[in-house]
Amino acid sequence: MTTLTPHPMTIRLAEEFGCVLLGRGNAEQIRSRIEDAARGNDLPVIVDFEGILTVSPSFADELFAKLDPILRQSGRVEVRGMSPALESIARFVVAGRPSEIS
Amino acid sequence: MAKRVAPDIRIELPGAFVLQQRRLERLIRLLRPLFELEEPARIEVDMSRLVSIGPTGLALLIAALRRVDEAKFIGEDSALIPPNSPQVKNYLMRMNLIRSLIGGEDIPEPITRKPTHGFRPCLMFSDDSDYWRVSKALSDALNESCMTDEIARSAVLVCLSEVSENVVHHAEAEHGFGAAQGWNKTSQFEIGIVDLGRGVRASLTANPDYADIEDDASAISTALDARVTSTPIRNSGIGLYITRQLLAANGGLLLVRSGYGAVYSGLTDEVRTEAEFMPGTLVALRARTDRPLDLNAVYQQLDHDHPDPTSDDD
Repeated sequence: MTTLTPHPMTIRLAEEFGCVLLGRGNAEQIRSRIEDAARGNDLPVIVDFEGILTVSPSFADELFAKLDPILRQSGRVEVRGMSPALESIARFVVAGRPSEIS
Repeated sequence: MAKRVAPDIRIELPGAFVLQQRRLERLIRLLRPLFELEEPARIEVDMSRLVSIGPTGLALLIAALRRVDEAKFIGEDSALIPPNSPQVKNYLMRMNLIRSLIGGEDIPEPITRKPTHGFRPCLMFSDDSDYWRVSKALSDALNESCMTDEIARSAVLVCLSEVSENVVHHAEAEHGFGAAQGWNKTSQFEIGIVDLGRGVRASLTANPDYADIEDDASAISTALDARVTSTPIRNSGIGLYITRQLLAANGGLLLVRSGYGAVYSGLTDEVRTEAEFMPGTLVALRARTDRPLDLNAVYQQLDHDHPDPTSDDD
């Protein structure tokens, strides 16, 4: 029997962009995609970092620190599969833009 | 036989121009006439006694020659005298010293070009798509020549992309130039990224928070700190800081040279005010391939070095 349970949208970064994520411009495009999906959907958007070796500081800043804080705090964007190192750089860049997380 | 016209500007490049303070400063001093030239002139660049030149010096030399070429300051009867050493001459041809001056056109050359492996010619970049391509090409070359592991390769790629992105977004330069070379014998590689733009101090003091920085050395030193940028809305100012931390942990070196300032950053920092003016910015990265070059280890250290003040347990 076919079920009609809706699936959350998952962005598998390694599959789409490779195992090293670079460039502010790339991150900006991914962030826009995440924000558009999260605003237009009741289900959370899952951003999957499984398989990502590392990211550049500018990529991390553009993706994590500039992500709409309302979406981040509401739980409509869910980040999975981050290594401790990626979690650390994500925390660092978000802390660097305090006005945007208030 | 017609007598050769004496050049208006004669630049002789004798000896070795490698990544050492004294030799690099000598190269900047010798190239100064090319940086300062404001009108067409008969130029003679004599490399006959050139013994060796590293990737950083090469990127600087090509940037200087490209500047006068694009401005159409290279007058009739100008000459580029090749090195006497066949090895150095071949190296310069393979690294595109001549091609870079004629827009990358294919010209007859006294060498047989094979597919590049372990090196890439000096590459020029101008915009967002270019710097990406150049970063990838140079890191691929280092991977081929030094057999670095995936962790080190990704770290090099990240640092290269950060440094070259700075040129595109902050330097206000027409172009950036990048060159890289690895040495298996000494387990080292070097990357040089050069632009002839506005320099670190002019860029940083555009941010009112840093407008009172009065000298180039202080500007560079400040720019190497975390979260320092000329454009805080767009940028985070951590690319150079992370690069510095990465190379320090590796036992390598990060050099930033701009205006009269220079910072040699490794396990310790040496902040210098030099006698020569370097137009734009020169960034050189030297790393060891026999030691870890692990960006994720640097990221994990951030929690310790920069604890988040909003998450304390008090």
